Amino acid sequence: MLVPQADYDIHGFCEALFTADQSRLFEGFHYNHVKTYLYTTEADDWLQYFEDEYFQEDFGDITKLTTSFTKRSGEIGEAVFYAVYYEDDLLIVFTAATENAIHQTIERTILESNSIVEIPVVPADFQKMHRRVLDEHEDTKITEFKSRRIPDLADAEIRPDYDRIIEYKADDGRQALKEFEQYYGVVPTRIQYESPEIEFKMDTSGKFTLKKVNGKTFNLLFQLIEEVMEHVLDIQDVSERIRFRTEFRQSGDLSIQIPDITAGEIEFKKEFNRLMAEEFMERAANQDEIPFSFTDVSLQAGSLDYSATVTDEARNAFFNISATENSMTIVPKHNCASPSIIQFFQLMTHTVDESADITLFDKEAAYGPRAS
Amino acid sequence: MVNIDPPEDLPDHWHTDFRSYYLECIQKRYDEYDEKSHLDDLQDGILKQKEHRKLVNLCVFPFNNEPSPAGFKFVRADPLAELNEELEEVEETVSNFDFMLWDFDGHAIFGEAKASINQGAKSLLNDVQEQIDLVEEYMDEYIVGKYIGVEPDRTEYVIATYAGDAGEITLAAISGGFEIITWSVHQMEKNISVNTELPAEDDIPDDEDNDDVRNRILHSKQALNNALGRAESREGSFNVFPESHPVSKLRALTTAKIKEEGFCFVNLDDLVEIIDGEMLYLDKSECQEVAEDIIDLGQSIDFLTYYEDHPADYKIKSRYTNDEGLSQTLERKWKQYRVERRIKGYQEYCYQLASEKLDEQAQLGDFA
Repeated sequence: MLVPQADYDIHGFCEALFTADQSRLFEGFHYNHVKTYLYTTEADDWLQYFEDEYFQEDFGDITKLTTSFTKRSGEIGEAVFYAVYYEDDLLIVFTAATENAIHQTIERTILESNSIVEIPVVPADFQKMHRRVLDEHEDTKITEFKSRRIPDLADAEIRPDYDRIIEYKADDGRQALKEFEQYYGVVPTRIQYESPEIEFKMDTSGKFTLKKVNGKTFNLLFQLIEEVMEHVLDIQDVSERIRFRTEFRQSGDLSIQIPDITAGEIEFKKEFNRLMAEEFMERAANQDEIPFSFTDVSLQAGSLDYSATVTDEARNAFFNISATENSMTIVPKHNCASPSIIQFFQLMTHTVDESADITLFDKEAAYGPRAS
Repeated sequence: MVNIDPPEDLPDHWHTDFRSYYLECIQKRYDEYDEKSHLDDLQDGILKQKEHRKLVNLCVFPFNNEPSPAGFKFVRADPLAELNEELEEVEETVSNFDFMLWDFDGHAIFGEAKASINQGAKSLLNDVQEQIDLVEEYMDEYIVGKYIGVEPDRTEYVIATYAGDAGEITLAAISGGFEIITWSVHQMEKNISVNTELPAEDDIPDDEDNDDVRNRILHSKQALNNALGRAESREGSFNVFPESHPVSKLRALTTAKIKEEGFCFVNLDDLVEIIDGEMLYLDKSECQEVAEDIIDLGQSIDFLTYYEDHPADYKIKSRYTNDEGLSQTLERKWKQYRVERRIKGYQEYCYQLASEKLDEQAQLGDFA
């Protein structure tokens, strides 16, 4: 995707995309699609992660990032990304690169940064975005979707015990989406919308594919970002404060290192039980992209007493969890930064309790001076 | 005929006797040995240690925060563990406390966590009294010299146990005249309270009144008694302590792993860093020592191998690369190692026994 160099702000850049000659813009690509990835990061200096392997060009608020990858044919190709730190909060990346190129380049950079992560789209936010699309474009069709059986999020009338994924392609997707949810207890994780004015696809990993590159589709994209931005930033803010710090304090002639933990708490809106814990561990371990391993597990029957060490296998990051029926505490350990916590929390909302909330263990209330 | 080489200095005509004594002894050991029950015991040990670690973590969590109850901070797990590290294998280990708290203002607390009190409250209190004596004995050398830099003005001692057992300990402490405070830990509610019991008249020693008793079973800092009464706690601050089960220590290897092309590697430096993060109170050389011991054990159980064809120091021997699989391999190999050690112990014992019997036989022969 080749955009002429200029001093853009985000709106100017989007306008340049949809006013450009599409055949030149997407020269060399099979599809004229703008893939948009949304990331959250606590690092204002996020560009540092793109220093070594990317050639950076200044396009005003936008930075053009160019790097190489190996095509399936074995040839070396060039992958181009346009990145912007939107409202100093979200990292938005525009590209037309292939999945193969993305996988070899930016996906790996993001993972290795251990600082940048796909925005957590919890089911409630995905629903909000979905409704917003339907509100803004009443005539839109759903032409494709992917849904997954999540027992804790939807009841199934037909064989509820079967784990299932349904991928559906047809013009009556809008009706089918509801029917599958009712009968098979599946909830959407990816939806494609089509109307005379817009055509785009979104999923729960913060990826938006603009299949019609026009002003209306871009407008909708930013409306959807606004829908979820506040919640995403809240989650980011909490996650980055969950830390295991240490400090030195003087005692006599000695300097003693002591811990100062700020633990996280996932608060459940429904009662968490043993069965849910087992199911959650199974699901989490089987995730294709973000697998979590559970070791040192202790799971007792009766009133729930559940604890484990969790490994984010992709980042080799560790944290400890312990849960009761009402909440789960997260104590970060080796290598653990906000990306692991954010993805773990998001997974929890997609598998166990869609309304779960993440907050900090309130140490001031627990151990601070008593209010008189 | 059993395949065992007799001692080199044993004359040939005694080899058959040696083998026969050895066989008789080892057969008896093998007949008595129940591998499954041994493996169950080993598994049980891992689980018990996990329970103990949970309880210690519940006890110390409030003190790992800022603010913390009455300003006390967790400064060390297994204080005086050094005494056991310096022992020869044949020497009996000393029993020390599980955790130490310090308010940086003259007041120290030593705590013993007991997930069950099968041994009885009185016996437990006597054991803890011995631990108190040990703290007093090593006050200058370790507590002042290494841990907190100053002699505390006041030192208090705690037994922390789950709520169901707390009352029995407190009553035994009252009647037995122990200056030991009982923490009642509520596993489900995740909180800790200082346990008090209303003693019967007979329970109070003759030379004491109710106030004296209260002074023995409560913290002198009222703010701490109050803060603990409403303090919520959590688990999971630490995965390993200096005297943790070998399996808990070995797990640090999986934390240190580097995944590459379907294999896992470990660097000693990474392991040292992980140990440093778990045991903040150890200095660099101690962390290095702990890490080296873990590496040695990892090699002994055949979980780790020295590897020259990679920049990393060691390679993990497992078909898994995820932590769940690695952890399973590790437990299995450790248990297998213990079984082999038991068998080897029998073999050494029988070898020794057969040699001694032949010595006796030789002496009798000389006498005749």
